[in-house]
Amino acid sequence: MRALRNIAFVLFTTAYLVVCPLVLLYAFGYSVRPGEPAIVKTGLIYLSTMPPGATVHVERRRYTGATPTILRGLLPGAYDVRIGLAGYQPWSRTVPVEPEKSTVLNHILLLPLEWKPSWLLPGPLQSVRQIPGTRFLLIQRGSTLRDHVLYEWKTGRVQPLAGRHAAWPDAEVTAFWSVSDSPAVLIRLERGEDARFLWFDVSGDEPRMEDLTGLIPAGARRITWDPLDRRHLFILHEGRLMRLHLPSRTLALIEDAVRGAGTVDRTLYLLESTGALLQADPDGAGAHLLANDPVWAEPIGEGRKPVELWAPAKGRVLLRGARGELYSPRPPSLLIEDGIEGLAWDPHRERALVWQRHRVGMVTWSEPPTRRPELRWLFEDGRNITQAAWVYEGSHILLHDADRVKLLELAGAERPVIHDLFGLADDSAMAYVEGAGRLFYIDPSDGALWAVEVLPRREQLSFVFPEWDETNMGQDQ
Amino acid sequence: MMFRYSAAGLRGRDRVLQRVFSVLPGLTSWSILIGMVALAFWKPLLAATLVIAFNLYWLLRLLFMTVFLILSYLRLDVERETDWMARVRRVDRRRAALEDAADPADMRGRLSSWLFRGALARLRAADGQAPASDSIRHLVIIPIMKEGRSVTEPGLVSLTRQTFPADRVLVVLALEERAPEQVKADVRMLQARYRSAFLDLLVIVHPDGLPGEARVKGANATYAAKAAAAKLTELRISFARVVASCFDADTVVGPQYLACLTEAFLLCPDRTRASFQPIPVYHNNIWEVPAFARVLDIGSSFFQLIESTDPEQLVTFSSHSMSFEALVKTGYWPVDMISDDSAIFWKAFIHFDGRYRVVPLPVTVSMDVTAAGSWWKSIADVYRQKRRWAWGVENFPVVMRAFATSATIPLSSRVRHGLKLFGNNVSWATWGFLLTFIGWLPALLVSREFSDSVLYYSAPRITTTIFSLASLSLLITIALSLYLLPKWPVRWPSLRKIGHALEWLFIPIISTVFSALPALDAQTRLMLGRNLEFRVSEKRRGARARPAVDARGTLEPDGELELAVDVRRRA
Repeated sequence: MRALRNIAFVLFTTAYLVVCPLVLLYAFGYSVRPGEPAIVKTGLIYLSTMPPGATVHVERRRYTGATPTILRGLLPGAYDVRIGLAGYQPWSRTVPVEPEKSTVLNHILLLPLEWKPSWLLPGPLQSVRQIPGTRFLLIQRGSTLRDHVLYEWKTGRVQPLAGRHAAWPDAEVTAFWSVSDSPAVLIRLERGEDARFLWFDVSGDEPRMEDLTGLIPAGARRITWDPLDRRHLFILHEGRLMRLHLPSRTLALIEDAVRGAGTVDRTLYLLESTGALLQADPDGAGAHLLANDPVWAEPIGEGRKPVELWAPAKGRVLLRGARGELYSPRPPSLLIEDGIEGLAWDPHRERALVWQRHRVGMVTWSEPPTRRPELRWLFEDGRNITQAAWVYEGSHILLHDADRVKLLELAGAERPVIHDLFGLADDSAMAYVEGAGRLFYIDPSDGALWAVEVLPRREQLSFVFPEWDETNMGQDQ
Repeated sequence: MMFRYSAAGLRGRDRVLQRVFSVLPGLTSWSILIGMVALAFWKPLLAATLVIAFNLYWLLRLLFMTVFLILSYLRLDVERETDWMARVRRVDRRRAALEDAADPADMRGRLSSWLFRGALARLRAADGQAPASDSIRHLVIIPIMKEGRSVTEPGLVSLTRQTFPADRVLVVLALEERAPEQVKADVRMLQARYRSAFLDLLVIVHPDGLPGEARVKGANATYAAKAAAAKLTELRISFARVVASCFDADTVVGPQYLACLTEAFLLCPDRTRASFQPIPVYHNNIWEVPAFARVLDIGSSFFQLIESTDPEQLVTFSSHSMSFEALVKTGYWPVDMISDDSAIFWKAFIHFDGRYRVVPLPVTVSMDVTAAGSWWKSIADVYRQKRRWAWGVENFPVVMRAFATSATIPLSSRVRHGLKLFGNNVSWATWGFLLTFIGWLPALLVSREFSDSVLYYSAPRITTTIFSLASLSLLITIALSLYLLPKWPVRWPSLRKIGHALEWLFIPIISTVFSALPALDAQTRLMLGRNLEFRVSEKRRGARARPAVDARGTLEPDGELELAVDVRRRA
């Protein structure tokens, strides 16, 4: 047994000494090629498409695997990669490969050869909007409370927002508040001189309504809440920031002389009239100065009133002025001079989409966010951009530009690639729901609710590896 | 070599060496674990490279161990029909034994016979003289602290059922003075009932708190061994003709155990410089304990099976036997160390200047799996038991101190044993964490440096391949466990039996929580100079596990011990 053990020991040790270096060389992308004088360094391309199962051609050769797949052992250089799938438009790019590096194209969205809208609800409908973090769309048939219904996009079920016994069914809905990742909405009703505030929690099967009339000042316009804490509402009214505790229905003053407020991840951001931007606990305690810019102080001058504080994530704060200016807490604070139409947050890669009538840009933060965020314009040929949304985990941007719906593909090329998808009247309301992978819109011709599938076969979405937010060479940004 | 095998009362250089070597295993283990976590954060490429290299090493080591697990199992299987007393008688015939060995008809018998003739030839080649078997006496010491009759009696009964004549067996029940009164009463009852079956059955009460002693099993066993020495002297029995076995109270041996031990003792050329190690299995209550405890102890048995193929570096573990002369000359078991089973080997190894070894026995002894009634209490008890096993690391500083100062133990032997002792302890505390958790960190943390690399995409493929190959080893282990274990209870449905086979799938978690973690705990305590308190593991057996002894405490008519499980139970 001893001799056998010694022989086995020698064999296994030899095997390890031979196999281990070879495996490590393979792991790093080293390869032995016929005709090559020595071991060569290679790189790889990772391809993942939606829908999966597409064929891959590299240069002129058909690759045997289907997406998602890894093209290994590629010598450094640029490769023409073409992807095809029956029923979808071909996709092709020139992809650079570096030694020992991976080029990751993991959000390739294949566009159908023909868009097939599906009819969902009869008209006439006025607007559609997503209730973030839920499976519901809020559909507006008219201006009264009775005219507001919830459409469950998973099942197609329609139900009234307020139950049959709700007060003021004929009152006009004059304001609507929602917060990203929060399954709740707050609406304001008006009947004559009177106003009511109704809070709807739609996290369950049936919406749960709570009447907050009398707790919220009738003229309040700035109301927000933390997606992680639906028990508290923050109300900014006439310079007073108050916190409403819903279970006890008590209102507490946080601070006077406030111009803007935002809350996220149990952190409160508030802009004082002096121009000081503070970060505090939700109850206002522990406040400390983040930035202080005289340009934010009140009064400044006509038309320069930066009052909307946008805090989509902890440490990510932007200030939006009345003329559509965009400010950062880090100097120099002015990012965009005017004309901001909207902002959208990409939770996957922690960056903001910003759009004006004619262009779309992206605001990115350093990690940690100690430097001024950077603005990069992605598309500047818009005609009249009214809505925009992140698509496919931030790899694409959907635009409603005048009477067209366009898709901006960020991955796979140095400059974003624009795809013209289909026509949609410029006064048509639309809402893109990432969870459903569908774009819902109201067709002005008949006022009906329609949907187009943007992310096909969503249920087959698969990721082999955890992803990094940006890859090298600007392919996937 | 004159050496005081203890960590207590050291001064000067010895104290410094002891401290340094106490810190070394824990420091190394923590450095590896923290270092790998830190690398995963800051140098993920390097971390992933090391993980691949380590996983490959682990795979080859696993395959290597699997090969020898199979061989060791086959060795056990080959001897399952062996009549060891017949062998003993053949050894008695000495010269004729080599020639008169007519090969049995079956392959297993022929192999067994071939192995026997080889051992006999080696004895002759070493010019060794085997003493007459009728001059051999067995001393069996059973330390008892809180084990009641239900735990102790089956082992005693198994000793009465030996093929080796019981009237040549001296049994000593080593009872702690601080044992509960019920346990003391049980021991007295057992003495009255079984004394006549043996050469003698002594009950030696170990006084509590003797100077220089800790509350450890070794102190009790040593006290009993000294009393036994006096008894043997009184009986004019030479210590060189006595084989001492120290059994845990729950140890149950097969009928052939003492015969097998006698044969090994007779055939061992330098028998008074050797310990004899059976394969410990934990079958007494194997089907009545939680799955994690069962998997762990089967794993322990398998580890011993593998270790038994390497007699050069085998160390005594749990229930073991040795020359009584060696035990006396060595100065008995350490009285202030918890890991008396392995400590006695090292003590003897150092005392005899490295000319001491462990002879593996192709026979099993069965013990209880720790079980404490409730599931959660069992978890705590199993954890403490494994930590106590891992506390064997306390031997490392003592052994290394001896190695560092010894001029008589060959350098190669010191290096080989030192490295193995160190490596075993460090791997024990780290491998589980590395394989189950830390090895995945580079992929989970996904830094940009890593995600941009080819390695990021190659590593999962390589790791998957490695673990797929490793599953071969797992399948073999499951298959062997099914052969080695006692039969399932008949009343069990098939689904439950399948479930028991699938228990092995939890081995990564189980081995981390109940093997690596206790080992790291033990090493950390040693590193920080905190001692471990000896706690007797709780053993419980259900009604099904006591079929050999009826309610009145008498043997069943067939006298077959269900508890004495060896490989034949599966056959």
